[in-house]
Amino acid sequence: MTTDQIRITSRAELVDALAVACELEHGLSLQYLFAAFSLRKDPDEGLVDDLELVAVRKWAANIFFVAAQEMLHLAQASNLLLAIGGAPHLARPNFPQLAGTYPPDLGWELSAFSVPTLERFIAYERPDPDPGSAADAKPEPGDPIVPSRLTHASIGQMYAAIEQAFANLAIPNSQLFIGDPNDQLPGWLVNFPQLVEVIDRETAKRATLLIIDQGEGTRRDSVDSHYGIFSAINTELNEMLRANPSFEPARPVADNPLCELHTFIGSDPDAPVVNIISDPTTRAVQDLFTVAYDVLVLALFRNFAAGRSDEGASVLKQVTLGLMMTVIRPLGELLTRLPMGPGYVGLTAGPSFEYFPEIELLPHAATARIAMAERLDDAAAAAEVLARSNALDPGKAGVIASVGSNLARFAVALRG
Amino acid sequence: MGVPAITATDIHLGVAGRIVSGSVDEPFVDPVVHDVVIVGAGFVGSVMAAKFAEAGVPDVVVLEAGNQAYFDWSPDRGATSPFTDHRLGLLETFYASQLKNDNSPYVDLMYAQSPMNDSDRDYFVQPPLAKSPQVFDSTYMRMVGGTSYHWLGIAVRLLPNDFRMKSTYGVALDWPIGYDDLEPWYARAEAELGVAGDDNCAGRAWRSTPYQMPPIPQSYLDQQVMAAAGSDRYSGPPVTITPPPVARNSVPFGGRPPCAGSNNCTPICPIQAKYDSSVHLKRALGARDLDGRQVSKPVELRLGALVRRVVVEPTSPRQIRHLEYLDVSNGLRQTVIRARTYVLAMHAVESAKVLLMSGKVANRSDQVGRNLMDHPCQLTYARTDPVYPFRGPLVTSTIDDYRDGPTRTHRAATRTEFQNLGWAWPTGSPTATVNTAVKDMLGKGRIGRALAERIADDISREITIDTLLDQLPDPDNRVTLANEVDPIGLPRPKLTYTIDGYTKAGGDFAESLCRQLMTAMGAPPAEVNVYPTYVGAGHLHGTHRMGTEPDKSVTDSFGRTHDHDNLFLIGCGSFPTIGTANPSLTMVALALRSAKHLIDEFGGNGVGAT
Repeated sequence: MTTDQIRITSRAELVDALAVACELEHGLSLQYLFAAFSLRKDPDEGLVDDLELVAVRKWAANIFFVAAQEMLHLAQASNLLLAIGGAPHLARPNFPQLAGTYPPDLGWELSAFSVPTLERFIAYERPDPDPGSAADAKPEPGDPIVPSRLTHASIGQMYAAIEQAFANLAIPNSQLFIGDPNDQLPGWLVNFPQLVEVIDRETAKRATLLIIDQGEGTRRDSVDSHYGIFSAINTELNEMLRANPSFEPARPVADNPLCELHTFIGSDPDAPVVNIISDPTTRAVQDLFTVAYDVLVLALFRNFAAGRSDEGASVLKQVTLGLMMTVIRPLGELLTRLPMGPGYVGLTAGPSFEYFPEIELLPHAATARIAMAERLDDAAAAAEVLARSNALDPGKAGVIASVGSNLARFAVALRG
Repeated sequence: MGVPAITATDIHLGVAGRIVSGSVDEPFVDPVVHDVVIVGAGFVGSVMAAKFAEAGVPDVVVLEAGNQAYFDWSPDRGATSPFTDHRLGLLETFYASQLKNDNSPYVDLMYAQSPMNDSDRDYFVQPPLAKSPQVFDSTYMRMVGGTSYHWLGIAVRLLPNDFRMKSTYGVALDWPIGYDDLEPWYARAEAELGVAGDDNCAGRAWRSTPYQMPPIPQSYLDQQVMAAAGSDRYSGPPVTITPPPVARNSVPFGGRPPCAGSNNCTPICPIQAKYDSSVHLKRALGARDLDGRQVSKPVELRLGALVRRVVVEPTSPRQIRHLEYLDVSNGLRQTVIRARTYVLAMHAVESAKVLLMSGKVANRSDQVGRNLMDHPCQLTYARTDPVYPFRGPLVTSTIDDYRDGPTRTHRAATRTEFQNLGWAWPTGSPTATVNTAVKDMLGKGRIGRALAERIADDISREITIDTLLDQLPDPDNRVTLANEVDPIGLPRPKLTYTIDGYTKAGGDFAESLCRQLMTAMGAPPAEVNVYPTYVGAGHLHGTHRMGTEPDKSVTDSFGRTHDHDNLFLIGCGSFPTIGTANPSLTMVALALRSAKHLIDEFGGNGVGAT
């Protein structure tokens, strides 16, 4: 399929494509984080020498970096979306999803670092061999007025279609960019200096190319793209496996470990496996993770909705970055070291990133901060109980205690 | 011009009256007359080698004193090597070293010592600190890749007025070229190294191209400094605190990863997020670039090649006849190598030393070895409100407001950096901080949690601000040959070095500014410390300065010596003045400019060389 066949012909279709882009970037980031969390990181976890230790730490760092850039792409897609009159879009279906749910006809699931996982990541980011030429984006007689999704394109083709739509849609500049420029999220506010504030066709083009170049890579330099990074990791992993077939870089993390089943995925033999965590302590840690993730998304909603014009924008920045680094990351890693529970011998869990439909844009900034603070307070109290319960060994309990104090700290910050 | 035949009798064995090691009876004469011989595989040598190879110059030899490349390569395997980086060994040496200093990861070669900042094992000959108010304590590395492995990565350009100090401020002298002449080469140098910077930073020199990468984020510590400087607690001169441009990846670039904040740029980046010369050296040796291309004629790299003499053609003194080097891998065998063009790129001290060891070579002006300069650093350190150091790369913010201005008529310009490294530079923290706390608390019988909290509190509040000071050229600050010799009998460099009132006035200004910043950040005024001496920045400049007048300078602006048509000196030694920019980027820009100049002279590919 070429881009001529997936042309975007109206604002409604462009809004829809950018909403899909937001879901994609959001979901890719979480899948990459899951794989990075699953990597072993200490010598006492069965790594035999410095080479293995250095390799897994480097891979983890590189995958975390790619995940962070997917967050940048999410913010960038959101700026594009708001610039043309769309709304922030952070809602997404839970993991796992059947192949074909999104433009790349690939699996959509949480799985530990491995050769198959890396091959899936490489396939997500694979450069589009034929981005096509600029398509005429004018609607034609008989075109449907209800937007149709670009379900069969690659990610590269989807962004090429978005780029071409911004260039060629038969809507004048002043009428296409109807979003309030003050609602654009500025890069300095979220420590993403590359983030482009979209106000016209030129900035829209730069924004789209930023995503394309960092993901697939430019024609000249694919080595430094996500595709290049994952390909290099895969090459190194395969070389190390040839040298030592028993090398296990990742912990024995179950695929798609959830606290509850959110999605009916049918009886298709190719459907991804869902594993329900049964260990009560692991479930308690997963609940802490879920609250932190919920509040993180609520805060991002506010940031993405109002950019710098949100009165509490700087507090939200502090809370979102703080939650990512001091709560989501330690809990995500901890979950990959906790047991799934009865029925899953030898398998560990992982962060489920479960999304609940009530996580939406809270329209009033002050109200939103109160609501977020309450949830963090509840989680902080639960963390304190869990840390003192003797359910975890002292090292893991220490992580929970630290997370609890951070949750409480962010609640205080939100209340001002 | 033809190169005359050479015999063993041409080889002079004595150096400054001593006989060096090596075979006297069997000097080896390389029978080939090469197109270019480059001495030194550091910043300049590697970049120039790559450019010559890319241009198709067919026969380029790089002589390097270091005996080992830290990537997968050997002379036998040449262009078929995978060029995998091997820095794990360097890291292990660093981990195992009790003394953690700039050169800890690296092997100090017996036959080619490096200055080590270590009084037990110093290479320079100069008065001991007890007898001198100031010693020269900057270091460099004699190894494959040179000092690029342990540089900080700051890639800031000189300012236009740095090139015209005499005509603008009436001090020192002007360069033979200006900023506008060098700007296109700065742009190319940045593209070669990959620089992360803020295109919108005010107060820096004009630029024709954007940076390759967005800036490295400013650290939490930086943000606390910025908050203090913007508050009414600060009453010092106005300051703008911005991220410096760095050749350290903020996003993947050149097949290398982004900085992971290991806080270890100096002495070694563990993941090669920071540029080092192996990037260009590998390319010169035949590694594929990101496009999959490789040079058709890789350069030849000779390791353990210790150049000790530059010999002038007796019948044609404007020509260099050959270089002599000791071949370490062949029992210090004396070896003669000839070329149409010679490039010395051994760093300021070693290039000057070899020229001085060679007698009257390139020194009609008597400027070889003179005008040795560094950026003396003024260190201020204190404990403020918590800043949580030891995170991120070593420096992520600077003050550039006082790099230029009318005060340069009487006071050194300054460039101030915030160290994300606690008190490591002035005191040796964290080890020293822990030791102090342990001694103090054990004496009071307080151990366990109280001790841990004390250490955490002390370290989390440590901040050091360093200010690089401009230093003007002084002919009495110089490198000469010492009577003392190194283990193989070659003279060690004798350094004579003082810091004048012009520079000290800049230091006084910096101290005042930093004291006020520290106080605004919560440090009690009486507890702001100033390091008792200036410390070296590792920026060795000025020993073979460029200029237009042969009686006052050693080379022209391309590095060609005024005295010898086929001898080039390229590197920090060429700088007539130094401003406040870390020198490596300027050095690479000069090297690229000189390489293009030579390639044009060669007729594009070396045929018809000078």
